[in-house]
Amino acid sequence: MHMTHKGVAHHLLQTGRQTIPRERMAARQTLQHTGAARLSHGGSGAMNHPPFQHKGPHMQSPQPLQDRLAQLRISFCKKLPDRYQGLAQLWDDLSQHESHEALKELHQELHKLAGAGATFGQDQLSAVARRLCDLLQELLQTQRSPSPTQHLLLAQGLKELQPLMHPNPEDT
Amino acid sequence: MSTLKHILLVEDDPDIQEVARMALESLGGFEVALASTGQEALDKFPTLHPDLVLLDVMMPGMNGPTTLARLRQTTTGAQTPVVFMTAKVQPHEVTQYKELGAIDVISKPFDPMTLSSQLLEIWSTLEQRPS
Repeated sequence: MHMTHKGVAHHLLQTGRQTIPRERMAARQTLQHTGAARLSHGGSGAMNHPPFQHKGPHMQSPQPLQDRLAQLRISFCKKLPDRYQGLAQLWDDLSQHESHEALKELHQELHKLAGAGATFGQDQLSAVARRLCDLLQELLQTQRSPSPTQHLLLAQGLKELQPLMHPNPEDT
Repeated sequence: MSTLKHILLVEDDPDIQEVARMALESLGGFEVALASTGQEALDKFPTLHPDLVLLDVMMPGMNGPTTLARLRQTTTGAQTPVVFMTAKVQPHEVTQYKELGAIDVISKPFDPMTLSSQLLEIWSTLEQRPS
């Protein structure tokens, strides 16, 4: 049985089945091939949307979604240098005046970076951010100041992030 | 069990929020309302009355489990199915989250192309559960 993308989505809604039709698998493979499978923010936060955005009874095919996701990924990558500056500033502040709140803020930023990085296919970036996140989580849980070794590991990790957060525009 | 139509998506990261919203609306055809914090979700919940809440576990301020606990204390949100989203989820954590009252857990990063079908699969299991 051949189904259009709209038909696939409709079928999925009607039956609630987990099966992934061939068409969707092909679409996903195309998406992964273009590096857009896990994809950024178009500047629209919760406050910008009225409750329950309804697209009507006609669902879109995967292609427009893939295109929009690809745009979000480019937007995410373009914002990385600014996000790095923010992290570097937080680290500088922390190095000068250690505080639980600053550690918490750095942890939250790295947590977001790890999550969004993974979503947009930036696996190495996500892995380094996650590693730093875990280290900070440990410090937050024990409420201890970073030991000299931990301090060094954090500094090294942030240094590792720098090139990953200044991608070549052609790579995005 | 009624049809899954209205979803309240609670996610603090604007990038991930946007990806999930687009995926749920475009491929799932769902109506999606957004909240960026647990408190915002609790504030919006009584007027939205969604069929399901898709709730991030780790959020600044009120985290997912606390938001769920508060929701369960309300009359309108006592029974609404909640699905957690979290990174690095371990089997024992899934059990833990289910004990807290979540019906299931979706691991992050999620695949935007299959997020809707994952939710529909979870939704379909509700029919088989004793009420």
